[in-house]
Amino acid sequence: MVIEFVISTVSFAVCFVFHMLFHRILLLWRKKSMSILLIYIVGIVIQIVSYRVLNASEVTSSSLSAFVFYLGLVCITSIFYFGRILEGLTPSDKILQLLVSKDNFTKATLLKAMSEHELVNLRLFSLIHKRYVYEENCFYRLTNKGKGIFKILEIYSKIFRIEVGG
Amino acid sequence: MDALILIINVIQCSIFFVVLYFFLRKTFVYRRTSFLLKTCLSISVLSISALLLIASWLNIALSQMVQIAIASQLVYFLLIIIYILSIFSYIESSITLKLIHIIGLAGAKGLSRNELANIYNKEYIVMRRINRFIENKIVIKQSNCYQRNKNLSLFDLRSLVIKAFIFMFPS
Repeated sequence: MVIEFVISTVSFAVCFVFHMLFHRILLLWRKKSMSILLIYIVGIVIQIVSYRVLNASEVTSSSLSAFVFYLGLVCITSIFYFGRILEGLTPSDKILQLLVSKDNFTKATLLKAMSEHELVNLRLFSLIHKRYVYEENCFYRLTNKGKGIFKILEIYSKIFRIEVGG
Repeated sequence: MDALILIINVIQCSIFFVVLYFFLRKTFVYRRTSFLLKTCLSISVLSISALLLIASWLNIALSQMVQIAIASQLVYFLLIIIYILSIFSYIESSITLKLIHIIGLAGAKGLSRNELANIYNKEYIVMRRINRFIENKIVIKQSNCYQRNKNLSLFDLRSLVIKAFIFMFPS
């Protein structure tokens, strides 16, 4: 059982190192591509080859769990990698940075340091640009694409009965 | 015996979402993340205890049971972290999703810029985050002034991981 998890971890580590290398190589050419994450398919191949070498003829629960573990590690890496590229600094990060930089921030000074344009307007423009929202006669409405997301949010908030977004 | 890892994971995740279904709505809005983590840890402790009981009851070797416990908990924690990072945190605090939700609630009539600014603005966004920080003891409020608490929090852990990613994947 331990060997399956070791194989998963090692194959993830190998792919992670190559991910870092390829990211830096692409950076030299000033290119950014999400397809770089396809490198983690190599990890799956490494796992299959390792099981073949170890003469494991059938898929056991341990190997399946180790595979889920591998996919989990790839998912977490992708979340941070995507977040790093797409989001940058979140408003929460910015507020904490401000509070670390200077003591005794009041509500007024904190609000002054944050920009409405950056917090709301840019996101709204991005939603319009990505065609989730459209503007007509100074009114914002959802496109079909936006309505799809809205329906998913409604289902989630109805199941857990919580407010969406913050 | 080998199938136990997957069975434990399915049971743990099912219990986790059942607890979420019944108790998340009753939890104070700014304490939901800590509630989620506490639930996740409690379920993990309970299942490890149950596993040890089963091991002693069925006379299974302890070393084998420890291996199963570690493997199942690794996968379980990973799945919960993925849920928190990719679904829960976005639904809980994403500004973009909130904008889609507010505009969607307005329906076919739509929402003007002024109406949107009245419902959702800078003050709402900043104060919601400040209140969440205060509730989770990341920020302290003293005589109308906000100060950063020096204690290490889970939010710092997330920031550390992001810093590590910035170092490993420079832009």
